[in-house]
Amino acid sequence: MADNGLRRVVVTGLGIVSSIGNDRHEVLAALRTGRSGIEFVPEMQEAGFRCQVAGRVKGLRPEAKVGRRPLSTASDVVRYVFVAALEALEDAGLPREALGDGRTAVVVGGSFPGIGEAARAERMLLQSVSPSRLGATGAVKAMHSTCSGNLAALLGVTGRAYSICSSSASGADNIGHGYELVAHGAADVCIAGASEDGGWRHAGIFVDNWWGMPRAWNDDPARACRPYDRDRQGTVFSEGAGILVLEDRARAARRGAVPYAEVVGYAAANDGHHMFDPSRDGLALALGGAMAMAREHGAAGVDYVNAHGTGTKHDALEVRVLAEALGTRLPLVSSTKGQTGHAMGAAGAHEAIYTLLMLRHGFVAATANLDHVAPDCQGVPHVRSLVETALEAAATFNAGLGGSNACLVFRQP
Amino acid sequence: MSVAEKVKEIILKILDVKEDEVTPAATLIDDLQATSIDLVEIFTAFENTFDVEIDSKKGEKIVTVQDAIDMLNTAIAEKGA
Repeated sequence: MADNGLRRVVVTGLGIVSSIGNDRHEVLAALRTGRSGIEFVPEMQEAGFRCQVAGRVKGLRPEAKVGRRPLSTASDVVRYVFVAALEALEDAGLPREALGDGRTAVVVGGSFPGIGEAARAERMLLQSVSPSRLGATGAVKAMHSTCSGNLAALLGVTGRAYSICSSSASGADNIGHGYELVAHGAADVCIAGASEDGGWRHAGIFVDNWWGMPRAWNDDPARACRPYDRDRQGTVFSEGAGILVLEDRARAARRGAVPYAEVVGYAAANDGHHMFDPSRDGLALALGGAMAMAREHGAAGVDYVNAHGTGTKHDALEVRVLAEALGTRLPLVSSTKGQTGHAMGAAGAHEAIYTLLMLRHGFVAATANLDHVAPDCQGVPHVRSLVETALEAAATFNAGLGGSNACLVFRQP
Repeated sequence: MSVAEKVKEIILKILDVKEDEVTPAATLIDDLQATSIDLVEIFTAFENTFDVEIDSKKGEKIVTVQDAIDMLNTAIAEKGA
């Protein structure tokens, strides 16, 4: 029990499907070498996008791990969740049979989790085929809680199961809410995270229209996403799922689990200002709130921040807020999006996992393509090549459309 | 691939059954444990695979695997006529 009367919560397992790998081992290797997950996407060229690069999931075979019946109600966004969640449970050493006691929750969301299925149905209707050709499973693929509902059914989870949608802050908010469920005793275990599929095709259209994606690197995809760089032109989308197993610390200790980290901070806040442009207020509140909570847990500060850093003009505001919020002891800062792309709703879950891998293995991954720090992005210690260093505590934060902001802080267990 | 082979392939893709269970005489609901949602998915797959329409009247008459094969063969022949 922490001083504030809440239960302490640890991360005992993680699983990931992403542009840089389909399990934690591949992802760890990619973070160390800097291998890019971004590639040229012919479909974007054919569709007439100005930006024609994205970070796609490659070579995933959920059929090998999940039976046919669960996959019949699973769009890609859920397939990613299945693979990542099964990896996370295996990593945590939790058998599926242990999840049906009503004390396990599932909180997995995303930005646009049903958009692919809805677009598919609409496309077929526009082709004037009979509505019967659309089948019967569209409703459970297109609903916003498709990730949590499908995963609860697969695993036999009988506790809470719902999904939080807060744009690019979704990953951090689903994990943060999962933390709160366990801390407040509403669950002993929470399988939490987020997933996104193919959003570069559906949601990306709008972003390309407002010149929010880069045009100059279609021939050199690995260089396209350039957080904080002088020549940044916008963000590059990616996809995938990230899942954490969050667990009551005392319970994890009793069963001999080896946690990655303790969750010592979570805060979320909205700008209350604008659908597109961040104001700074919400981000300052989220960062400040999570850091204050970490201090209550005895953390003196953080050694590293995995920042949102999308490669858009908003990077500059983010750096200013970071410098103000953490000014007395500035941590190392990097954005992994230069390497991975921006997985939209899943970004926060991916980046929590990248941060946890860095905590466990003692290094900080660099911001890819940060060749020249832009004048408006100076003021924090940017990591431009891999740093080997032990980390005691680290934070990760995201900011989304609609003014959403969320920050998580992890500390060595 | 024959109609019968394609029907078997579709059923195997949608239902959790073994290949040797999908016999011509097997009933979709009782023997192969298809739910009402499964039936819709199977009929949708038939429509999309063979480019035919299966209205509820036709669908109601399909009890066994062989019923499905017969109905599809008839529908394909009518389409070509």
